[in-house]
Amino acid sequence: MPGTLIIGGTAAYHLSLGEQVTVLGEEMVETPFGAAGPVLRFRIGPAECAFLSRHGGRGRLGITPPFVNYRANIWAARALGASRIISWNSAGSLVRSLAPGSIAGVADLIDWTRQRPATFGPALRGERRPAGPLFDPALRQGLVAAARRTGRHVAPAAVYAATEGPRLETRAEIELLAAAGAELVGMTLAPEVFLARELGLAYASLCWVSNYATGVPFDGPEQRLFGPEAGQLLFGIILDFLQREASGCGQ
Amino acid sequence: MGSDWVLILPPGCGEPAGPGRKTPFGPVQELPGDGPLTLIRSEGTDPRALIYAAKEAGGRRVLAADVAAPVSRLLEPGDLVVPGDVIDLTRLRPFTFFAGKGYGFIKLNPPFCPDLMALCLEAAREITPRTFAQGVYVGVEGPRDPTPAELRMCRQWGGDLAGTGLLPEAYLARELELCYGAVTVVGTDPQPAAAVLRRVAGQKEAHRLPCTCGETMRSLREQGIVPEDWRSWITLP
Repeated sequence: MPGTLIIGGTAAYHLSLGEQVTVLGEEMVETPFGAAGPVLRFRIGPAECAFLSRHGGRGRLGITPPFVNYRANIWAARALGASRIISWNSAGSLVRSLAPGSIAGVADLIDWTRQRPATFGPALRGERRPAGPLFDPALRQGLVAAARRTGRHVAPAAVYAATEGPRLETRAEIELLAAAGAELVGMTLAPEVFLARELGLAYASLCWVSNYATGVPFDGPEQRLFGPEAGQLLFGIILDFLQREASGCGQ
Repeated sequence: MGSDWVLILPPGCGEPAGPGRKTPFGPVQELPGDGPLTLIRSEGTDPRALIYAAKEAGGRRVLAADVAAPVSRLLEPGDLVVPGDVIDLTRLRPFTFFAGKGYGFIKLNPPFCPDLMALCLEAAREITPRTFAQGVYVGVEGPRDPTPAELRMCRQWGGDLAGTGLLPEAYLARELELCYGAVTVVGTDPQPAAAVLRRVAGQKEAHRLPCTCGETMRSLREQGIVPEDWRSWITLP
């Protein structure tokens, strides 16, 4: 039974798994909210994990953030027996010093999405929502440590604003989100993290800073880093974390 | 060949006539007359229907008018504002033509066509010296008016005026590669804004400022991810 579901964001549709990974199988998971997947089960060292591409697609993003079936994906995590979710998300930076190519652990969130189903509702059958932080601090710290081993600039505890999309934000919207304390802007963490918490799953996300958000001043040419290497890098960081954790060598 | 201008006006600018235009997103009313195609943003009209009708009619440049509540304390009824940016606080509207697709990450920097902004500003100044450029328009759900507390919030957030008409219209137009420019008038009488748009559309000259509004989908088209025909990009209801 996989202990961890990895949800891959940007460039997950380009991923090659690499040699440390032993593939156990691939399946669609039926949920009350529709099918999720394909979900890939694999082993890394002694740990069994599962992997799901949030945007689907093969070689290209299949579905934009407002239309991802978040409920099916998160329900599938529990159906598979996972107790936690580790995801990567790409995000625009609202902070000049957090440049494209940086990585950030997410510690908090401002939800500006509008029209997405954001609760399991009656399917929870009155299950109590567990208390505790939205983003699991220990998991975040472990992932941040793994990200630092790449030598990249890593922000340990960023605030992420989730917008509806699929359009990009305007300059005025970015200014107000920045004034409200957001450091990253993206379209996928909400309602994903809230749904995970409804089911009592621990959740952590590493954000790949792909670009500066609209109107944020920067030096040099504009960068928009959505290539396959981004997904490969983030997946590698998560595998490194899982492998070290499973072998008990600490972080 | 008709004009490539399409006007979108709020109710109160004339009596719609005729059967209107049918679109996959519902009907759209239009004003009769010899000028450019003029669509009415009646209560309950799907914003996608307006933009679809504009595109289908062969429009390339959409001019939209709206009435708005002042957020800035310096604005007075009758003032004209050519917005240069937007904050979208609408909640329940269809916000994209590309539901369920793998594209639609369109840039809105700025959300209005720079060429049309310049033309609108020039024409508005001929109508009243109380004309302001680069306003930040806050799109609210309506139809109710914003409360005083909400207006204060909008002010704190950098807004200049608040209205219900221009969003998500502006970015739906961009999705279909249309130029979109707007004039808003403070208060409840839309006529001065409509007059500006008619003046702009009456001009003969071509684009003066370069814009990339017509290239939103270019790279997707060139890669063969979407076909040339814009109708096939859209998710029908």
